[in-house]
Amino acid sequence: MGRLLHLPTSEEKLIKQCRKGDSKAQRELFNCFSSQMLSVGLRYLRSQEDAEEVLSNTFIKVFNKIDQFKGDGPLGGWVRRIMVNESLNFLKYKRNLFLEVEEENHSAFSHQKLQEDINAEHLLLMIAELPLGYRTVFNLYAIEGYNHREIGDMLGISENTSKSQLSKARKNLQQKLAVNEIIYQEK
Amino acid sequence: MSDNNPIDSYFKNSLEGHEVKASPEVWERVAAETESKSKRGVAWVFMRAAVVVLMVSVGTWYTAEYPITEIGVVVNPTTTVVDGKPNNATKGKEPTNKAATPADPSKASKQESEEETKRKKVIPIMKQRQRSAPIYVSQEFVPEVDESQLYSDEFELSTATLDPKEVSVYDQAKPGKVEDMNKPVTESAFYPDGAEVEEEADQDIKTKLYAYANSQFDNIKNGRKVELPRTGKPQLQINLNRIFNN
Repeated sequence: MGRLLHLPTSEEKLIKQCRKGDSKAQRELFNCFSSQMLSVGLRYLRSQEDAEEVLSNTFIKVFNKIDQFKGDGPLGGWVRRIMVNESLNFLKYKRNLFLEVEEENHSAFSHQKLQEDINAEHLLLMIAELPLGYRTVFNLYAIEGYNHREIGDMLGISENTSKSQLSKARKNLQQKLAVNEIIYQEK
Repeated sequence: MSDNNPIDSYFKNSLEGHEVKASPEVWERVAAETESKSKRGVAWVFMRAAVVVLMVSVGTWYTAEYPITEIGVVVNPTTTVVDGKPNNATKGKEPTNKAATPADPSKASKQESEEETKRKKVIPIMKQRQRSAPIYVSQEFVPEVDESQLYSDEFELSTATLDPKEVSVYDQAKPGKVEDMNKPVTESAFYPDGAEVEEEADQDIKTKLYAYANSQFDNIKNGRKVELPRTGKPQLQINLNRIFNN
């Protein structure tokens, strides 16, 4: 039996209110997603300041374009896509991706074993230490889940470049993890 | 895709749902930008329309109350218009034409004397525009005017050209006769401290100006069209009639 009743979910109600320009609803939407999105931003941009700037741009865009959200996916996914795009735009604006050969960002962290258990913050730091190109491709492929063709389109690089950047990123992270004797399963 | 690789999965799973608290400035920035958007509601459209209607109606009322008249024409709603001689076509509109000024004071003085019949000595007041302050002539420099003579047919104006050097302020200090009205007064006579205002302009141009003004005064007095000053240079003849009538 098909759905006879379609009760609006709380998310749908929220979206409807936001479309009307209800500032309370907007605030609620922001509170719901902002922390997650800031985490996403930090993966790409490394500094809290930059990530927050992109975060505010993202939500401004979200509220301006809320009318265009068709509801064919979860709201969080839509917001996240905007966040990723804004992060990439920010990087493009700040520098030319892949034209600069960036030295790996060294920190005392990666070459010493951690005294405590690894947590998410540490992983973020590991990613932040990657050179720009490795970092971006790794984020898009491993975490966001885009394929190489899509990454090539987004960043304006070839698929092969994307693949090579990814494998270099993995090697790099592997070394860092090995230092801390992280055991992972190899298939 | 990324699930195949253990490193990918490890990072992905560990960072799933990871949150970092944003500082309050972020929301402030967002709220500021989207504040303007909320005014897009239907109610606000009506508000803005109402404001526009209000402004238009106020503007209409205002211009009805205070109509904008031609610049340079003396419009004083409270003054009664006195009929002068039909030939005397000046309206008080030619402040730039110096030779015409003797007619102005006479007309103004006629109005004035209507209001104050007891006054014998007339002080002409030259009003150029509605807004500027009137320029007063000191009593000393004004020749006494016999009003009956003003509109008589025998009143003739001379067309003598004026040499600015000849006429000095002090010549006009004496109570003058009607003939003295013939001489177009210098600009300096209309200022209390006339001597100081004398320019050191090029005398050549000054004489030319006076000559021109003199020649045109006759035209004005008789209601004829003012001729444009002629220059020595060849001019382009444009047949305007042909253009307008085609």
